Amino acid sequence: MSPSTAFELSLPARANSVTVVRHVLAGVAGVWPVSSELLDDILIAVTEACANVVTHAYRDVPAGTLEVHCGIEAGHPVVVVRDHGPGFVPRTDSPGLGIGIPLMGALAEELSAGHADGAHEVRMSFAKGAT
Amino acid sequence: MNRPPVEDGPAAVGSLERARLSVACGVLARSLAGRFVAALGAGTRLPIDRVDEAALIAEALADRCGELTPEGRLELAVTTYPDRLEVRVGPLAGGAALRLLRGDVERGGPGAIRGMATTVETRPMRGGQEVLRVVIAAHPGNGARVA
Repeated sequence: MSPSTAFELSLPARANSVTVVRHVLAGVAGVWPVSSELLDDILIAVTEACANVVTHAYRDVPAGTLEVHCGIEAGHPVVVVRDHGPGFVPRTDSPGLGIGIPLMGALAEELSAGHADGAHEVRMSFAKGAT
Repeated sequence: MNRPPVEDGPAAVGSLERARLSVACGVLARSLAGRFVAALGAGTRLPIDRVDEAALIAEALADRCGELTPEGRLELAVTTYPDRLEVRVGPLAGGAALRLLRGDVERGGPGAIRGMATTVETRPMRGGQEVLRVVIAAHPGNGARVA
């Protein structure tokens, strides 16, 4: 990611941190080359990814962090949401509606999940957008 | 479609109330720093005007970021308490915090940082660098104690 457009957030994996991420990320308007419509899509997708971390990543394990890395790669907004939990497992008692990942996939141009630097991460790359 | 609110997972209870933002100095830092501090301040019992002032302090720090940080990055760590916000800025180049506060005053009046903060102090780090610690409580200090 280009250093001048990149930033990182690290927060306790709590519900109110999702709001903080969303509010901070909205501050890229006018700095990143994104339209307001694209920024809305990014905010929805990132909110879903962060909500997944808060709800699922640290179930039954000690407290952890929610990390969000954002930037522009070759003109594409990229957001990586990380956690250091043991990994998602299917839940029959999930409090969510089960639409988070499909929604992220619909809003992002590319969506992938994996591991890096000892963390689980969801990486979302969005369409190039004009301001 | 009604969606249930996001609730804290069990592991979140007791987690550190510290949040961090790392961003390159420049226009993005200015845009994000104030939002970051304001969003965290909204979770405290601070009056809204003090949350606003905390955001202004963060923006003032971001404005001077390039001359303060050896790496050209603004590193903010914010700890929230029910009655206050504690903002740590750094690592800063040695002597940068004092220059910042002196320059803050030279711009007229007590300056954004000292005029609105409750406490301002610098703390040394290894390698000659330092951290600026700014506390914003319900009331500004009397010109803010500078330690």
